[in-house]
Amino acid sequence: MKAFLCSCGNRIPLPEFKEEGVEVFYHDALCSPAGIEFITERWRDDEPIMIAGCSPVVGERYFSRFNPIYINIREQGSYLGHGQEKIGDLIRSGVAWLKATKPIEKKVFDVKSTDILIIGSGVAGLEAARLIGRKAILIERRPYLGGTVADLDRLYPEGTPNSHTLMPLINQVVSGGVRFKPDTEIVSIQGRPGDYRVRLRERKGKVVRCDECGRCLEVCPVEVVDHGIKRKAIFRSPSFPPGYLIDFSTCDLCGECVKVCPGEIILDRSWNEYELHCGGIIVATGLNHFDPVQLSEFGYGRLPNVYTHLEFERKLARGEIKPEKVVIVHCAGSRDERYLDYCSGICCLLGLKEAKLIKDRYPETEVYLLYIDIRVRGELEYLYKELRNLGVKFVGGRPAEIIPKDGRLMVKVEDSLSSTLLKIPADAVVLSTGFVPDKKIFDLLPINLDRERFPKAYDWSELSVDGPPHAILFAGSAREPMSVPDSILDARAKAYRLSHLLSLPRIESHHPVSVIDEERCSLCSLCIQNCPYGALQKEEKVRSDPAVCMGCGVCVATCPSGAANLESYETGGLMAAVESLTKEGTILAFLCRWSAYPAADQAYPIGYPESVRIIRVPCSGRVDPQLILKGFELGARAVLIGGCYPEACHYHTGNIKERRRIKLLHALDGIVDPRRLRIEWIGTDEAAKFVRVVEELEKA
Amino acid sequence: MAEKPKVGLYWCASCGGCEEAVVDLARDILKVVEAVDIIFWPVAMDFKKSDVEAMADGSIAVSFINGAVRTEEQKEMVELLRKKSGLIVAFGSCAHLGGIPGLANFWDRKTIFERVYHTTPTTDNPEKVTPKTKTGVDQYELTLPEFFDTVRPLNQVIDVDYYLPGCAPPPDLIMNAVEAILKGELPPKGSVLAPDKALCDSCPRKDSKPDKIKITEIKRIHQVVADPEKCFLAEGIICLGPATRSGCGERCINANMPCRGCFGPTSAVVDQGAKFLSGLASILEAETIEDEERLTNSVIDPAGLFYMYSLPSSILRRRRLS
Repeated sequence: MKAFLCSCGNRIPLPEFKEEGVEVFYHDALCSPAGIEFITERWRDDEPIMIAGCSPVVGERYFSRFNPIYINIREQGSYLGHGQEKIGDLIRSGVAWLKATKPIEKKVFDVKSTDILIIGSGVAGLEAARLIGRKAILIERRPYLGGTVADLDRLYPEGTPNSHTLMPLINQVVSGGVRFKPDTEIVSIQGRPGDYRVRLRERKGKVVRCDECGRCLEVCPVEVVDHGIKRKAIFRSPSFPPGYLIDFSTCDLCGECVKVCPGEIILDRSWNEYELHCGGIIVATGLNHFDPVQLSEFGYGRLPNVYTHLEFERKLARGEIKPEKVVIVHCAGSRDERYLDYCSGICCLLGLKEAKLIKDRYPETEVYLLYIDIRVRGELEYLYKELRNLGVKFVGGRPAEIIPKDGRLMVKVEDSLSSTLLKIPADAVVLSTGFVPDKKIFDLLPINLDRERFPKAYDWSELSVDGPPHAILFAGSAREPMSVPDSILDARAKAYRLSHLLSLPRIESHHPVSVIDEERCSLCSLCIQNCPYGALQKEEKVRSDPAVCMGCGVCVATCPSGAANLESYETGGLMAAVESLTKEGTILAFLCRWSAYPAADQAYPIGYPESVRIIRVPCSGRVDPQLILKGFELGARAVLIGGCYPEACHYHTGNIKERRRIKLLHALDGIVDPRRLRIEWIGTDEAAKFVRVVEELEKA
Repeated sequence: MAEKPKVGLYWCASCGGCEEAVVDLARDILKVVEAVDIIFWPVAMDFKKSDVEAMADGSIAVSFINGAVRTEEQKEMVELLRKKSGLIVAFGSCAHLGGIPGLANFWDRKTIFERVYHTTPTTDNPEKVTPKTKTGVDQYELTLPEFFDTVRPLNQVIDVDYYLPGCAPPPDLIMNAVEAILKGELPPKGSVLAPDKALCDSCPRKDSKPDKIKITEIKRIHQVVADPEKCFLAEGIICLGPATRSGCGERCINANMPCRGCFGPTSAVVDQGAKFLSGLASILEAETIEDEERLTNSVIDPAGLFYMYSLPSSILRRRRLS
């Protein structure tokens, strides 16, 4: 067993350290090329090592391929001015942990298919498909390509038609050998990197051969409103494939079109389900529009002439409306606790674009633009200035309500600059709404959502071989709302990343995962629904799938018979760390690696008591109550569990599970003193909160 | 004829059920008596402490001791037996874990004496007499063994070789243990002589268990008529089966009672109560924090429930002494 102690360029006074059965190495800068070399020469993959030095938040950037036990004697030791005794305790705890742990097993995923499935054919999906070419399989829910851009009329800032962006992409995709499957949906996704089995369903009905004569359109009795525009259930393709297409979600299968069609139409709403094999997946499902019907005060869906920006743009483009006075409401539902409490980032520009489209078409039309803040990035500021020059009136304020008045609309808004109540009559109101994630697809994937919305970004980069093992990447607005150029860039990066990964014969990963001891497991099943990813499956035995497990360890803390364990964070290792860190008066802190731990790292300028001893855990939900009780047995003054804020857990609800455990521990009739056991949500930037909490506990 | 191995049986703080369990061996007890020589068994045979003291150290092959240690007398006797015995088997939940008498660890000597000798409605003690270890009567001094603040399982007092779990241990486990001792085919020292999987593994209701167990309401066994076929937890009735070693013969389950944990934890768990608590907290299903509060508060007497048999052997062993 080997322990590497780093003085961080003499910033950490290293104690003389000896321990039976452990080789101790000293170094001044393990993170330097020479330091990495120093470890590499001594490291074997069948033997765990310990690195004591800087915080793992820093160390992981350099040492993750060695999978060490990290002991932080810099941010938790010398930077705080804490003495040799604490530094010695920390190192001892690392060695005790080391002795109780096993090396993380290498997971090898053979690349059995180099095909890449791309879900969604918006600009992101098209760009990824274009680059991947013959290896790409592009599926699309709708019968035509193009995603949101295909629904738009023009793109900002120049107001170029959507086809200028879309058609070159589509041409390259179609001519580049991409397998393209419209009217297709995902049923399920299973498998592992390099080897995914995806069940798809494809609509049986379609227009097989089309002469583009348009007779079907004349006979179709079903009228549909598609984002503001009336069309029939059979309609002309806005992009590719060309010709007429059927919208089976509204088609009533009357058969009139079949009668007049000189080509061939199959009218069949049912699905043909089949399986597809691929090595990786790019999720490019794009944007879903926030539904403004919820904004009752704005009257959408109730009052005529209140539109979403998409509806307005489409109506305007077809000359269906020619308003004399238009009010554009920015942040409709956005940055509002009741609806979307975030900024979607791109809708400001969409609102400005609508203003520009009106002014381009009807310069006489009076345009009011109501905003909370205008957020335009970089050079696009000129669009805002241009609109000012064109006479668009910008009013800082959110409308109180929109009411019908004298056959028109009346928008009541307080101008926050002049504090006056404005009543603006209008012929049309445009709601510039934000965007919501497409949860339907997220539910099928083993991923984490940030605050139950968009996929969470990890600090270990997506798909780093040290990180989560999925060869499933998000591109474009599926990840977060993005502009067209950003979506394209994002898709490009993801396409190259995945192509590179699948060009290797196998994908190797060292991420820690849960392991179920089958000899010990009683199939009690309590762990199963605690896995947010479905990594735990019960058949004959309960097994944890290393291709799906993200290593939170909530199942380990849950397992009542001790059959579950988490690599590198085994109960034995953590227990050994507790035993060597706790003495009379210690404040024992189990801190989540995503939030409270980095917060504590930042607390050294403020300082906190030397009695605080920190153990890093992947999630607060990993903290087994036995560890807490052990701390108290050994004389801990207090035990703190520091986790992410409720919606921000990187593993869905590990923190909530832990809070429930703490509640029950508090209820243990006098065994545990509730004042001395606390769970606190501590965000990454809340060093001061961490200090306040441990100081309160010091007095408890 | 070679001398038969000598066997001792003793009881400490217990209910007598473990003695009954020996008798429950029925015909099998004849096999035992044929194979061994019982030299000490206060409940059934007339031997005195002095008889044991007179024996050579280590001359008793094995002593089965049931009951927890709560008084000075019990401590003295088990220490004596330890000295005289080759093997010590902690027999039954109380010796193994502390058992039901271990629930006294929610109190201490002072509060227990206060309750028992002064405040129970049936107490008639106008002179407020409370037991003392020494009492002078005329020129004599009478002594009583000390009553400890804390109940301890056997292994917190003496070195224990094996554990026979259960309240009381079932006859088949007792016979297996006796046979293993006679044949000298014993597992490593410190082993619990029962399977090392939790009860769910052998539960007759395991097939009724859903893959995902979620509890939205906690029910107590006296409030509902429990379905005799279904997993208790799936019905919201607290059952310690997932945290409890199997081997009991599922006697409680077959009587339509949930497991209360008398077999103690598996070897991978130190604190049965804490582990069960953790598992239970993880399967509570609450949408809002109010729901969560209501659910966690609806666990009546959580400490007594989770630690019904194992409080003295848990990590913190007892309620904090002020």
